Amino acid sequence: MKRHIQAPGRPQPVHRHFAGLIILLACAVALFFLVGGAFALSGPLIPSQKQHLLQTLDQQVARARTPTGPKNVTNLGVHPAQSSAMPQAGITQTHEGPFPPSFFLVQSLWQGPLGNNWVLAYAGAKPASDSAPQQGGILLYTAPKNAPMGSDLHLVGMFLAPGQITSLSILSANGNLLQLRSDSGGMLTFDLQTHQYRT
Amino acid sequence: MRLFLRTFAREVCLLVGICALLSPLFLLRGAQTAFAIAPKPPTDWSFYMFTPNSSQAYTLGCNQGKYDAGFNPVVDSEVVLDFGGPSGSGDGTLNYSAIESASEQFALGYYVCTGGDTTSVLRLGLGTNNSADVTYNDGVTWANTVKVVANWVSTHLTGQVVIIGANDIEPGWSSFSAAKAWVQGFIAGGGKLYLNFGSADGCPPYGSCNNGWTQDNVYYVSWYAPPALPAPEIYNYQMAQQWASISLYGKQHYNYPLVFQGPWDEYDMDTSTLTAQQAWNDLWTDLNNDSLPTTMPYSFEIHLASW
Repeated sequence: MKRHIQAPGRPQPVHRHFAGLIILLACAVALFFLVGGAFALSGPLIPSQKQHLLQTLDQQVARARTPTGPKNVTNLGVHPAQSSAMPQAGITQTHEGPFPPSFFLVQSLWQGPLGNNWVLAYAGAKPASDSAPQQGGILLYTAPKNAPMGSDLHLVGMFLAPGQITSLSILSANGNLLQLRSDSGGMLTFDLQTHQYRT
Repeated sequence: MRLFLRTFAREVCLLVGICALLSPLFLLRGAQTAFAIAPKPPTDWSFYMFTPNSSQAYTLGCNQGKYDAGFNPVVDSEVVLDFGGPSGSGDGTLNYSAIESASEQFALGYYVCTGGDTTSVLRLGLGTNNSADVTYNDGVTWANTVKVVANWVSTHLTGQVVIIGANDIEPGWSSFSAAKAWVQGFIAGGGKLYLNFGSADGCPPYGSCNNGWTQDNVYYVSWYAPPALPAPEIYNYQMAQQWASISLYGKQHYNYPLVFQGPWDEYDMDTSTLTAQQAWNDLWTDLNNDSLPTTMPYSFEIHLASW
């Protein structure tokens, strides 16, 4: 017991080193976990510029949620549009339809009445896996005639051209027949009723 | 002194022990594989509107307003009107005044039809795409179009609508350099934000991205570019994996994964594709499996308003 008694103000060097070692070790371990925890808590990292953008958007939304005045919908100075546009028959040079380009690559569109339907014929190509045109064809949709644009559109089918034709575009329409031109300059027709090609 | 040291050491050990016990909770925070899929928010309807029709746009906006105001408490929504691309070597086939008018009428319809509700907020995206030879000038013009509509909204409405840009950017539609030029034009034109509601066609884990694009390119137009926010097309499970892979790419190469606005489905257009719930589940699960951010505030579904 006696050997453990120390003179006041003179701690035994071995014990002091041991305690210091424990404290150092403890601090290192605690620091490791605290820093690790802090990193884990930081969650998804967002670039500061993007963070600023998101904050700005949040502020815009917050302002929009706080009306700048009473909501008087009868005295806005603007009125709901009344006109009701109907689709126009004809050929449109466009590169898009209501489908992704991975499904069909559009060169042109003809739309118009046919029988009891409104018909949309997209000319272009079925794409290969690398998005390049692979086989020319017609993608056909119908909608009820005289219905508002966009309502009740039905896919009739994709009708691929015969032979080595990579892509098609529409030159003209005459009755049931679409006059088509292939990417190589060849001419052919497509019958919108029988869905048959003629060269 | 010895007693002090012993007590001090015991306290330190206790502190270390607590830290050691709690740290797994922090460290496991990102690994939620075993957790349930987060609930999907209400799915908002976006629209193909290739022939802008103001009357129709008002009705569609009104529908969205009634829908949002019908919740208790009311909910916010995010909608894109997809007007198509400026196809044709930058000469432009878009009718910008018709686009502006239709967008304003959609906003007006929303505002009017939320009725007594004054706190729901619509984020309305004016959408285009990168088909054909999209250009820097197309980006500038689009930013200006967004600003025109935003100014109209702030002039005529007392709140509830925020106007943003949107772009259906798909590798198959243009070169990356063309799409990047559009982004740079959008920024130069003062565009603050656009949703990329496009695809990552062909990208890993299904080979190489189409049309010469890389994952880095898709990452750029979806997140790296300052105004970009991703709302990815998820039409099948492969697309969910492709987008999760883009996010993982960002995390590994830039330390910044994508933070998605929500999945974009087209079930209404094609019932062979994923429903909104399936798109949500697939994207959420793939992100979660890679310990990527899964918090998404919206769910989008494209519908056809006009061709």
